[in-house]
Amino acid sequence: MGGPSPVYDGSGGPGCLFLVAGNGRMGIVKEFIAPFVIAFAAFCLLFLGLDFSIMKLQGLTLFFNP
Amino acid sequence: MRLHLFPGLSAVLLLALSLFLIPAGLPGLGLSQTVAAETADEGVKARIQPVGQVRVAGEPELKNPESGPAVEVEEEDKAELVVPPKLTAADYPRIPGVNGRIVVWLAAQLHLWFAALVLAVPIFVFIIEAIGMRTRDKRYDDMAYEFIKVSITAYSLTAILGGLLAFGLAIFYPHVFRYLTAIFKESMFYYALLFFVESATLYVYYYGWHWLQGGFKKWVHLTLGLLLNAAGTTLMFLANAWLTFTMSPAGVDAAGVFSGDAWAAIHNYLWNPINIHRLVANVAFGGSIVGAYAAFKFLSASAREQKAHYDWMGYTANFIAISALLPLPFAGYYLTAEIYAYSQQMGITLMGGIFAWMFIIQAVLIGTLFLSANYYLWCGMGRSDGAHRYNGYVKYLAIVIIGAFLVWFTPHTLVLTNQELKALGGPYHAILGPLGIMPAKNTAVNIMILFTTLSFLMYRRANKIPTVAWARAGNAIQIALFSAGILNILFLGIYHGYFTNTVYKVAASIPQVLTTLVIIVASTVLDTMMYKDAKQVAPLHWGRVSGRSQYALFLLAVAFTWLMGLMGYIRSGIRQHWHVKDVFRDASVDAFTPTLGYAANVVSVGTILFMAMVIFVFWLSQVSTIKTEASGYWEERAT
Repeated sequence: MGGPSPVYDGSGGPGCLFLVAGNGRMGIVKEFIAPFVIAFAAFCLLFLGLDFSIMKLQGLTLFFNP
Repeated sequence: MRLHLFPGLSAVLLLALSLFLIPAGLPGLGLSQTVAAETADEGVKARIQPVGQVRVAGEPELKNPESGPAVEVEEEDKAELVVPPKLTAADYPRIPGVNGRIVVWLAAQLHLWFAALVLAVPIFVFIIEAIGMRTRDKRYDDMAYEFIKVSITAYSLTAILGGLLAFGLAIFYPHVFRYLTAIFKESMFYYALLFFVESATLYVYYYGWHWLQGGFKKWVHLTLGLLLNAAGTTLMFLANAWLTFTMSPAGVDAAGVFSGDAWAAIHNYLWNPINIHRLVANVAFGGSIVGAYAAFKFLSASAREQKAHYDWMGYTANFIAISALLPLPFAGYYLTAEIYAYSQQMGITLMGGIFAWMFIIQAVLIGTLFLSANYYLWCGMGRSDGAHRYNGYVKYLAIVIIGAFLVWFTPHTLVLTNQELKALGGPYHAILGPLGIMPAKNTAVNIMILFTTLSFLMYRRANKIPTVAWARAGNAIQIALFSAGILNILFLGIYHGYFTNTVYKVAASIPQVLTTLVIIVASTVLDTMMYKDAKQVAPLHWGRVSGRSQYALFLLAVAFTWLMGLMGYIRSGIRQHWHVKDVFRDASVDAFTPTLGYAANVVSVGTILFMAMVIFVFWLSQVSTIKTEASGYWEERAT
């Protein structure tokens, strides 16, 4: 998470959505891709847990069980 | 001051008077009976007409009350019983050339629109005033004052239309009015008293705005705002009870005989679902109307400062409207689920019967709301010098929102000729048919809401640069949150919607909604943390926005108004030929469900009338600021 504070470089373009000065490829993996993968997995589990709980509260299973 | 106060109070007094007069027994009201009878159940059954009685399988046959024993009324055992009468068409007074149902329909609808406005505006005025107090930014205080100024004239119109509605009911539906006033006499009495409290509070709140400034006085003013909101909300809840009683009567037996328990009648099955739905909808509607006011002022302003002020006001109003619009579909689903739970017949009439096609119009209008709100936000990004970083994404947001909109208003069944039916090979289109069912629509609306949230996030970020070290990771988490959430919504919609049974389909809509709510809350919290102490790209250029964006605000107000009218008609229409569902039958010549085209025309006329009145209110606020120097007109007098 080190490196310079993110600043707007004024270059424009879609890539600027993330508004962070680059730290090279390793920086992108460490500061963007790794948090994305971890957070995505965590949120998938969270939402599946939510689905499971709400369906169970309604007396049902997450997957169809006739 | 007299301009506002006089008609409002007069209407309230007339309404209060009518509430007392009608139950006291005006001529011609004999059929609506508040009778004295013995409390024995057999006696009641013998006296009443068997309207709404249903024989349940396995139970003994219902006795014909007409052949029952005569009721002897013992004076010492008198108890007031309210019984719905069995009416004929002759019991409904008529005025030549006037359709009573249309008069009552339009009066009720216009009253409701104005009531929604004047109840909602003080809610966000209170919040804006509190923000101004906390931040000590006078611009908030000025804006809050201008918002309440809009509602003050509307308040008089609300009261006048309420009086018109009460008289309309008393004239054209005297027995219904009498039956309801007999049941709700206490709440109607306190309603009238509460109206005085609300009026007094509102006028002190408005006229005392500049007097009650600074220190303790400002706290007194804010407290008045709180009191105003408490009175207004209580008024709405009381009126909602009368309305929902006609849909899900409580405190009465199967024949509509009132038990005497007023609280049971108020706290009927659909009371709270309507309370929640109306509270949220009113805020959205109120925001849209004051947004239209700001747009009107923006377009008519020539000075740069004025344009900047009304641009800011329009943005705030739009923000309020959309913040309330996002949870509104969920409040609507809750209300509909409760309607189904109370009466499957009403539920099926609502969504699967005659009114189903009205929901296609509803989908088009709600889609219009989302599109115009998003369009306004995208135009508003032009105020920021940093917005060009996000402009490229707008087209993707637009594609998804329009795609979801198209799915949302795809009908399940089509109105077809025999030839078309043959050509299609059945009532459902092979590709579009599957998009017509609720799981597809639930998925579409959730995605539309999430992409509107994204528009908000982009707008919010447009002029900011985060300074926290974990900004890139924060973005990664945001993207992961939206991606995982949208995948979950698609999973629930597609798997449970098309590969399971109906029970699973309905049940899966709840985690879908919760997923959307989790994403909205989590992304807002995360974004707030990321952009804490953020740098500004440049000062925001309030007023630097296109004129066409202001028309999006007008569209928002018109779409909200029309939508409320159409949905209100459906909510009322599902009672079909009953004044009070299953206990008090409508025997008037108008006891039929009109065609959808006819109903849409009536609501459209109402919308035009309401908009004309709203423009009048806006115009009044405009002329109240104009001063004409009439030099030479007034004679000079020595004082």
